[in-house]
Amino acid sequence: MITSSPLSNLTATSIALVKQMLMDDNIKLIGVFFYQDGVLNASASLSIPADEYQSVKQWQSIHCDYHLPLHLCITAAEKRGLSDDWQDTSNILPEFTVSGLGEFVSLYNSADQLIQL
Amino acid sequence: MLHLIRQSPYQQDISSELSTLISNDDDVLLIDDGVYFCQSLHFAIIQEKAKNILIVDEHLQARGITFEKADSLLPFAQIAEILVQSEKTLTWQL
Amino acid sequence: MNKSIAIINSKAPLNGAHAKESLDLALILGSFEQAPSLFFIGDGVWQLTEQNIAMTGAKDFLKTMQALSFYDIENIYVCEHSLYQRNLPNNFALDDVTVLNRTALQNQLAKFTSVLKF
Repeated sequence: MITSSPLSNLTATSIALVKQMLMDDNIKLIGVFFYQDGVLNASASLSIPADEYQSVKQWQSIHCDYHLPLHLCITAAEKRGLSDDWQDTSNILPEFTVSGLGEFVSLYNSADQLIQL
Repeated sequence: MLHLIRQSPYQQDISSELSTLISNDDDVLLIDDGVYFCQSLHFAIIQEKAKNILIVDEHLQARGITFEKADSLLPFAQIAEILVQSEKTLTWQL
Repeated sequence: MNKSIAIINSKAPLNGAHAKESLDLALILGSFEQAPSLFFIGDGVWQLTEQNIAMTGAKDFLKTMQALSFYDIENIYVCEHSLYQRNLPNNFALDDVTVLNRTALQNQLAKFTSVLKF
């Protein structure tokens, strides 16, 4: 579960850890669930200067290269200005799956371990 | 349990909370701004209670901190494995 | 091994969305028969005191908290030391809250298979 904002200094570490897990044959990562300020990672409106850390590109490549499900709590997301249905458009990146906390429970039930980042 | 400390010792009342939650069976991993504990009086709190203290070497270097206890230092590349090997983790971040 | 989850609340009730979102998660887990145990430490102990949050315009989630047992969330632990630091008595807006000293709290926490901290 990722609860930290993409603007915190933690994001680069969190993403690097997710990648380490994906590349380790002994670890099977079944999904990432974004909650609290973590949902902002899914914003298509984030515009980060080219010389700064590109969290959006990192998540996109994680999803494309490893097909890792990236779930988003839509209630937490809508509170923070993200929506998949605002004036018929979405400002949520397509790599993220719009979900609810029920999906978190289902992931939790299927997993041996839960790590908060 | 492994405590993953990602915040500086001076954010929130973390020193008191650590005394509350770290037991003698627990390990501590200092990562991100958690490495600032290495240059803090609050390091004693962790040292007194935790069984093992691990510190991410690259995160210390990135913040310009030198730490004499080289045996606690770990390369970042090993962290995912350490997280998964510990039976459970408690993450300290704001 | 049966899975069990502990949620640690460490922030004051009006500190961002932490308290509310932690509670939302607890209720969902409860409704899926995975009722978590709740721990209140540090400024988190203020989430359990009698208060008038609605005066700030924020939602009074104490009312929701009072429904915790309806979601089978029955284990609520509070840090004695945090109460002492804040000169708070052992009365809470909820019933059946257990006050634990530091050692007892650590022993209790050790029983869970997963921990989240808000």
